[in-house]
Amino acid sequence: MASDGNGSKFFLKRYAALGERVSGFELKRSIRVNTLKISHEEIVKRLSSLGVELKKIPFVRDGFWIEKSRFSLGAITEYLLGYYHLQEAASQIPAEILNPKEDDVVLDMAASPGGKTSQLSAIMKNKGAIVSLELKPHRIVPLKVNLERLGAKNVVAYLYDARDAPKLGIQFDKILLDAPCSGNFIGDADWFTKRDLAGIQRSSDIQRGLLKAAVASLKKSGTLVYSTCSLEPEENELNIQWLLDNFGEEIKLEETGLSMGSAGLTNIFGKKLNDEIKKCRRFWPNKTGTQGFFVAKVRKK
Amino acid sequence: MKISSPQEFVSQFTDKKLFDEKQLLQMGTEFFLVEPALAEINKKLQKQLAYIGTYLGRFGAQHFIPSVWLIEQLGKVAGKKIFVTEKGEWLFICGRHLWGGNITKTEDELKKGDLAFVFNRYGECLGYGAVVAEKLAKKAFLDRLFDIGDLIRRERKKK
Repeated sequence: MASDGNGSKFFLKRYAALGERVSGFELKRSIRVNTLKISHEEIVKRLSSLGVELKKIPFVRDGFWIEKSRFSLGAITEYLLGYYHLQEAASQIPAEILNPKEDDVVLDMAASPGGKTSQLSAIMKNKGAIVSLELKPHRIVPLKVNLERLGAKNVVAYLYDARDAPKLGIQFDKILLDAPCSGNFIGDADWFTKRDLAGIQRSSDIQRGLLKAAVASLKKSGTLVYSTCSLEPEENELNIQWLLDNFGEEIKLEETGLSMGSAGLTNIFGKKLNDEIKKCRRFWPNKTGTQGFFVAKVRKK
Repeated sequence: MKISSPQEFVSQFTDKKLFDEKQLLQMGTEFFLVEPALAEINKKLQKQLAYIGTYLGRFGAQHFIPSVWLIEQLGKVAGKKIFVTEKGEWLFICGRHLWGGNITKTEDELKKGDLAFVFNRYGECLGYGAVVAEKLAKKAFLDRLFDIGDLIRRERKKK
């Protein structure tokens, strides 16, 4: 199957060629405490009384691993009251890197299901404004339900193609582009049979369209955080190389400030990339204990 | 009583003003409260709006269905309260009516036909319903009209 650009052998061989032997791995479940509604101490105590054991995730501000629970945490009163969101550990990182201020006007380019949008609201203490865009109509309901549940009040959300963001006529202080991507095999047993290289390339094309729109919609000196939950270089380092090649006069890469993850790859199957890409962070699941992830911080000059 | 606005819904329970009516925005059957800064952005963008500010509730086929935020606000000011056991809490947020055996205490006199709010042992409002019995007994006491489990049911319904 390897010659067709799909299958587990093909992808695992690719990861090995990128320097990583990725093997079987069980993803730890995690929550993000919604500080708009409750403190860390209160939710730990509250869930502990139900027999749920939480452990602080050291590399994110409001994240906790679920060490022990006899039931799903996605339907109990504390969840419905919006005290926490079920959010994978690595996916809590991009909003923290963006770190919007309370008076910022922020663009969230791919908003549903709203975990990161509501995280931005929490960081901004429901001040400022977040414009959230979602392209797919069937993803609007989960976005609305989560914004309501989590008490995000500084958000205006539209059914809108973020590739048209420049037409909105707003120059944003900060932009989060947690791009739609091909995902990764952690926690998805069928991933290897669902994905192939052609699909990954299609994702990459969409991501480049979104990156172009993000650069055009960002204020001078503004910050863009780009992330994916993909391990594929076409959706990560090669997109950032494309960004530098096409918008290098307008933007520069910055350090993420993360101690987690590995430096972005600068040698992709023999193709040498810009050394600046080392400033990005790549999360190999077997090293970080999270899903596969990639994040880049971009500043507009 | 046919409810025709969120204000009318609130007035069933309290004379207090829970929100600034000038901030009300209607989108189809849904209502939102919108702060001026967000209203300004929305006015400028004029795109297909999905959500804005604070969700207040919506008109269903039969009656007004409040948001979790509005229920929380009403629970703070409304008089008639029912406190439930852990089992009662779980059943109620799963959409079940409330039985007398699952009630730990009530505040204010409750009579048949009253609308009353349901609270757990932490004093958190879980929803409301209509009293259907004269006194607590091992039978249905409150017919559920809304509970916070609506969030999950709404999401599942749309899948």
